[in-house]
Amino acid sequence: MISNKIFDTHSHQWFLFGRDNSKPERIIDTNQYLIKTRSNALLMDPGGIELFAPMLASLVKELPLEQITHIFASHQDPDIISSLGLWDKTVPDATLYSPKIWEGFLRHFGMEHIRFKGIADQGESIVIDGLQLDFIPAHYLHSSGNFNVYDAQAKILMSGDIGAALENVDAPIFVEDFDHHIQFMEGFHKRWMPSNRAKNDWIARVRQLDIDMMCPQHGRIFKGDDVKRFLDWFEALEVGSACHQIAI
Amino acid sequence: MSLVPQNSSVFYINAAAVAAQLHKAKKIAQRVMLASSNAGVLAFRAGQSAAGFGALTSFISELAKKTVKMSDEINTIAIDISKLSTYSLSTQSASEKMHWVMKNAERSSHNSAHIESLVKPMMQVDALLEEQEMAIAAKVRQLSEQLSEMKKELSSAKIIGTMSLMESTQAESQHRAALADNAKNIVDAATEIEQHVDTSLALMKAALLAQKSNNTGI
Repeated sequence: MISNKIFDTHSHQWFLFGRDNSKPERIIDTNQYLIKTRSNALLMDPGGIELFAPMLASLVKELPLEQITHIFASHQDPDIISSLGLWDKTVPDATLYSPKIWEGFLRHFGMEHIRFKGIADQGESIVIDGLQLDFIPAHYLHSSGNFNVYDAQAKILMSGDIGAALENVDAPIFVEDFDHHIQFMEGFHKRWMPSNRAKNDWIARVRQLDIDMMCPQHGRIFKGDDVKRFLDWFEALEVGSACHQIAI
Repeated sequence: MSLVPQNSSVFYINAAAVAAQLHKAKKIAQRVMLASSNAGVLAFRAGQSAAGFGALTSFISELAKKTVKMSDEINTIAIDISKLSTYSLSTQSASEKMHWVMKNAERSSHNSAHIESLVKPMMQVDALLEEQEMAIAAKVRQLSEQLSEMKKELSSAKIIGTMSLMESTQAESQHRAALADNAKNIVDAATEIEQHVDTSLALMKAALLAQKSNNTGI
């Protein structure tokens, strides 16, 4: 699994963990993100059970484990957080931030020690070592309770499944040619994003943010103008339309 | 050195299977309770000639009640073992992964600057695993003892059933067949329950053997 520092200032750093070529076959590749502040850290969408060991091995290269005081799960999917029961035994003093509606479901993954802090539907902000992080509502994209994480200082939006692309495990980290990249995103967004109304609501919200990097949970990171290109492309895309068995 | 100190997680399937066996045994014991009540009525109708049979039906009824109670108790222990083993499996998985990371960090030339921060959670997980293994072992002992106790009670039930069968021959001819049929049903039921208990004992024994071979790496 690669570990890549994608943002660095004196106050905090962003790391991407992913492109795990040791993962078992037929398991979707995922991006995990970490924000490291002076004495704390937020681990975002820490991944599935199968990824736990390589993630742990990657993390101890960057910080002591007890510094992981916050965990964020954008939604309830297994590739996002099925490793929860293992993190529960590794960083038992951490707090998990996730959509409020998923608490009863997430506990099925095992959570005896980690504290659960449900995020209200309208979103919330937290401050870690002076760094404000905003949980931006992204409901129904694709999960019925779903959030992104926005760091206004770094101008980074961790967008979860929005912007995800299904590519090989050796794909580059950043989008290099947006038009060429569409082929890897289109099917995913048409199938996994069910609501044009929810999509447009999210786009309107996100257009108000100052974003240098948009970091999805699968595939490549969008930088600079590619963020706007993505929003324009997504706006024009008819989502919830890839299942031909259903007459839409 | 073995990466994982112990492994009692082999119990979780077998304990669940024991719970299922005991559930079946309980259903049969409930049937025996009804049968012994019917046998009591039959003996009363048969009068003096079936007085010996009548006296035995109350013993059978008591034994059946005891079997139902014991089945419930053993079932609870079996379910506890299954739950504990499932928790233990998750702890074992965490332990294995942590040991893997530690071992690879030691071997690897890559810089794992903060690998020492894994020592504390790893020790906590290993201690928890040991604690869970001990709790499972205690429950397994308790379960095996209760199953053996139940087996003894069933031997008594079979003896009383056989005695009832003999007593039925003393009854007047018009009641004899019905009483004999009833006594035979009780013996058959006790035999059937005993089979479920034997299967349960065998399941526990198999789990203990599997655990032993896991721990010794055979």
